[in-house]
Amino acid sequence: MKKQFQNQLKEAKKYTRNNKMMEAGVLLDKKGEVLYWHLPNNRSGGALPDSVDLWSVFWENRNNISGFAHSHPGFGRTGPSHTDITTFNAVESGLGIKLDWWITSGDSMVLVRYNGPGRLDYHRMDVTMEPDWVIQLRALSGYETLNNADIEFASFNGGVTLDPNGPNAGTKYPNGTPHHPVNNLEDVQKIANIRGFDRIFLK
Amino acid sequence: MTDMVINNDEARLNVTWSGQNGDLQDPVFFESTDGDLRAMVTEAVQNGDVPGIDADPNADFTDFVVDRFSATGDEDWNKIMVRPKTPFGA
Repeated sequence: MKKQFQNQLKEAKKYTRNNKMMEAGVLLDKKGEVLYWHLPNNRSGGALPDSVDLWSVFWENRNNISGFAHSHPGFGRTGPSHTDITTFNAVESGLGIKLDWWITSGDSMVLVRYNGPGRLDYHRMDVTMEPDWVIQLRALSGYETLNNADIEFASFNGGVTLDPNGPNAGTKYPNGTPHHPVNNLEDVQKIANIRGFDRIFLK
Repeated sequence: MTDMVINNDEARLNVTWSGQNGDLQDPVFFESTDGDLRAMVTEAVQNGDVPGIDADPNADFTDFVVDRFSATGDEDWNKIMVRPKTPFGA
């Protein structure tokens, strides 16, 4: 399973264009273990498009599935969109069973279940004990490539790094970090002003 | 194989509902609109007219999609499937 995941992660990263997060999904069996990673080529940071292949996997495994999880962009508490809820209802209607619908953000997770009585009455619950596969789902979603402000700030190590002989110019991240020092004082000053630093490291 | 006589401009209509799957007993026009096809399967499933699918007066195909497959070397007739949609979106 580990090797399979690593291969899928490698494939998924091919499709993670422009270092942006892209939604991903995973089908879970009745033991809560991974049955199928849903990583279509046409996924984006805001959607997993309709897929006859995904429906086929739902149908073929209908006697052994407990739910489906997918990722949403960003961090913090998330919730199902109208598209999500109407899909939950359609799939459950087609299969004739109710499922667990997990949704994760970069650092938070909810579980959505049908609550009735209306066709689209679904209830969202916060998940405090996250399943193991969430780590893989987040990795396949590319959250680590998001421009998270805290991660960016920490990567500067408290100041802007200058290497007059280096190749990097401009203020776009990660320029100015120890691994990508900028090569001119003008950019150093701009980055320091943007980030609020008062220290310069000479490399 | 099928016992239906299906002309070139017609299709076999397959539907999935409540864990069951079956074909309507009569062919439909291949170029029928999605809305018309959803209406056909709704009426058929509600009335119990689809072999293999129990009658369900509450059957609702609002969020189902229509897939059309033209006849190929493997299939001698056009096929249309009405199945649950599967998109997710933030």
